[in-house]
Amino acid sequence: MQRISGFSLLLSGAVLLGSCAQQPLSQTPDTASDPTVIRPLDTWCGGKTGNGTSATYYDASVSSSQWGFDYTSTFDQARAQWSGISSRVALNKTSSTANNPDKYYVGNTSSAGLLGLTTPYIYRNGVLVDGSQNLDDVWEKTNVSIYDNTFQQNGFTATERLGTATHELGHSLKLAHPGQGSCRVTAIPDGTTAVMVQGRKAYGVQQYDKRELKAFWGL
Amino acid sequence: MRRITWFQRGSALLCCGALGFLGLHAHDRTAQTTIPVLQVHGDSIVYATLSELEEAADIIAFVRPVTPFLGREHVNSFYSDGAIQDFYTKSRVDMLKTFKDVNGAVGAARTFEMIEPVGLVEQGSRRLKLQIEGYSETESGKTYLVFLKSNGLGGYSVINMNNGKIISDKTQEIAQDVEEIGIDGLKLRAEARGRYRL
Repeated sequence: MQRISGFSLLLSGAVLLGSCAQQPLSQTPDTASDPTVIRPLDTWCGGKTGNGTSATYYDASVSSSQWGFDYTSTFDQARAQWSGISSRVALNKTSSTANNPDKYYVGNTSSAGLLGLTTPYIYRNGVLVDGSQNLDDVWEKTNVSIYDNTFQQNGFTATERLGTATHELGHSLKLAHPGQGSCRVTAIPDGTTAVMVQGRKAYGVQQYDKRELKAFWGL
Repeated sequence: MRRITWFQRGSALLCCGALGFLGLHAHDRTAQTTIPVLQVHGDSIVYATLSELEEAADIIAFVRPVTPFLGREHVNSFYSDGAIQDFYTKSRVDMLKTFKDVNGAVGAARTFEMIEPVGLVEQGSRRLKLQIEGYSETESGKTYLVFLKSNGLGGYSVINMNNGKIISDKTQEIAQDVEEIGIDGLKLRAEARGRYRL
């Protein structure tokens, strides 16, 4: 009978375990169907520091001459779109980055068709972190980006660029896409327009958006 | 030296196998669960019908990703203050059949690099997977019908978010896609499956 020492058994076990532990990253499975993915619910609750009143800071990219377009005016008009609807909502421009204002940016994206993104930030253990994981937390601030190259490539008019900026600022006020909130869900009737609907749009805040804003923040 | 019986040898091998299996699974679970997945909200151009999508796309093709997601190139760009400007993944795919190639970008190439609106991002000490509007990445070894458009920066990316890529095997369509696509998306996908014989 062949003899096997305890050492050789131990060694073969260690080699087997080691080969598993050192499996290269590229051989790990895809995570697209991972059930642990954290997904937002249908509305965004939780409010925002300062409630509906936010200081807003324009990053230098907004006024950059490289765009050949006046995005400062676009964001000014977008802020104005959301004013005068609820007495508790105001997006006030500031020239200071102190106290975590909402920040507006203009950039380029490699994702064709992407118009803008809004990223909320929350405090976790005293550190400001991306809050997209749980949109119902109280947001400390948001970063809003709109993408010039998508506008240019698709021939967007100034009004359509304003539509995108207004949509993103709506997100910064905790408004979700219609029917996709977690705190309040209001189905949008057929034929109704809303700036919070995704896609190319040549209009600003509509009745649906105003109703949602007031329902969330108050009159 | 002490003799080892067949029973002892079998038990030892069984233990090694079990430990190896557990180790492998622990590794997979770690890879999947230690990267939080965040969905970033925004706005994008929506193509509600198949004809709109076909017209907008520069490339329509059956593709099969070569590399698992974590092994792909994940690209981030930042504004001057360090805030993230853009993130995406470059996915190398085998070109199985091309239906539309208006700029000749694919040509006779057997593989192609397409851009997907999802990416891995380092934020502080954390590594995050960011999905734009719930976009789920294509999986290696599976076949998809994809609609790609030039981004004007030298690359071609999936358009229409989850409604710009349709997995060939309908039974493998993940629930996340179905939730995100809505009624128009379901109709678009059904129409595409018929037209492209998926």
